[in-house]
Amino acid sequence: MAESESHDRKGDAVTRDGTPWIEERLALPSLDYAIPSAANRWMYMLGGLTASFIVVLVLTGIYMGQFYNPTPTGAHDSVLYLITRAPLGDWVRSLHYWSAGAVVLTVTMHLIYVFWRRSYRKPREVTWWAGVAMAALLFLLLVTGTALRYDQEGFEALAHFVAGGNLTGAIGAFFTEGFTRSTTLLSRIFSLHTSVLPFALFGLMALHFWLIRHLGIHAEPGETSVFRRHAMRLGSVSLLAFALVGLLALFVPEGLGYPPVGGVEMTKPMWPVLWVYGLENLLGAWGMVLGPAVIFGFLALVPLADRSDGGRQIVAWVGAAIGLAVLALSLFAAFGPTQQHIGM
Amino acid sequence: MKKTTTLGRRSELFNRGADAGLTLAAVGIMLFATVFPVLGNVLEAAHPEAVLESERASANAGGAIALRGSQFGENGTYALQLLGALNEYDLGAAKSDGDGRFALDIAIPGDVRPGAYQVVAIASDGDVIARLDVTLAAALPMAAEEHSEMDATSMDNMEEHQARADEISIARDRNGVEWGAIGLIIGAAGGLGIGLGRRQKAL
Repeated sequence: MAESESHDRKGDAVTRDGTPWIEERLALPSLDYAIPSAANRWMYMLGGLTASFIVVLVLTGIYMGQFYNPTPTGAHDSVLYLITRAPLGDWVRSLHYWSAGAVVLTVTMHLIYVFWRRSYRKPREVTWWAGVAMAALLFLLLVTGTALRYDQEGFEALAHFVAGGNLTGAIGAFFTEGFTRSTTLLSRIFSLHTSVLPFALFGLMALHFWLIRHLGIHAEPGETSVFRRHAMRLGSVSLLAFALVGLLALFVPEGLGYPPVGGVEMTKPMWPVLWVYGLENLLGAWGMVLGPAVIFGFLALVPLADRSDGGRQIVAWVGAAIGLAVLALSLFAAFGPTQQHIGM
Repeated sequence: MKKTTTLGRRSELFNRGADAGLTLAAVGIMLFATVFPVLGNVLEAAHPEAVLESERASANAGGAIALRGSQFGENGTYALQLLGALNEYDLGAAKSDGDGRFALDIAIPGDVRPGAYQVVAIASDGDVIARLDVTLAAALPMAAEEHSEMDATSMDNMEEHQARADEISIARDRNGVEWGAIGLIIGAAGGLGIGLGRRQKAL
């Protein structure tokens, strides 16, 4: 009798104080489904860690949005206001900056590991495509976020949007000043960064999680664990990573450049975008269009190409070549001189 | 058997308490959502709704803006201020007539940084009762020369015409409350992370 009561989560009789009420109301027992114990390894938690940092980015972004003025006349001053006057503004902004860097790191490692393990194969092609699309959205979020600083670096990022928009005609019309006279490009980039791209990202995250829940992760059959344990472990790692990033934001705060002046290119972008800068050094403005198109296009084709031994070899070699090229271009951009790319 | 029954009763009491707590919280939220806007409206009504207008809500630093006020209190004196994100400037005072109106040219200081600002009218009790958005451009060369000294948070207007790739030197002052809040957030995250890590191992 006592034994049966102690395990009856649905009945009125419960044996432990507190926990059953919460478990019942939040349906926590449904988290106790079996998953491969490999899910608790570090490399399998990179996707979850990325999601955790995205939560930090959303929260800090909402806070910063209360102080930001997305107009060319007010943007730079409002960022300075955020840093110098808004309560915790400097720390929250730096937290946003470092979390963005952390997301780039975790999502890249996640992508490389999934690619390495060929986890994109049947039946997980759509899981992979959703992941690649999310990586592309995160890249766009990074560059649109840079433009919002509206210092010299931000202004040059904005000018690159315009140049890219002009190069690609109707496809890139949104990024040109001529798209509408009713508002400024900076306001539209702000809207893109704070609503359009995050909404698209959340939709894809929902799809990605749904597919992982129902198709499972790609791991060798063996020992099993329960999802609740994985969620707690991920929560633990995420909180510790957040504490680390919080310390970084405190002791290495993000800076801000001087108000922008048009007609010159004198800054280099944030490190995750350096490879595009390097490509622009070689190809001019087309580099910023062709580089991302080639990489994300290749990643999209991977599940279709890797369907035979020959296909597998090609995908592996092209993937390795692209990885090395990104690394080389980043170094080339980091250590080379600043160059004019878009003829400002 | 006896122990389980005692725990079961305690849990049932906990369940009832939690349900009652949720009910009280829901009622509290409902009351707050109803009373808060009404209270806000009552407090706001302490001053009449005043209006600041201008034909041209833009000017150069060192220039002037023709300002009109209406729906102010009769024969009152209102302080005018120019508020930017980083600085604020006193623009003098406006006196309303018997109809609660006034019209005057306000002089924009020459050392104002270009950007988005608000001209605000402040009543004698310190409440801001009217606002007007204005956009200010850089000072014309003559006006800028008259204001060669800038305060610590502003950058020289002339320098703004030269592009710079480096970063502004920003004085980052954090008060004790902010330090405490940051410490609490980081500490709580770290502590909770360690706690969760230990608990998941026990599962």
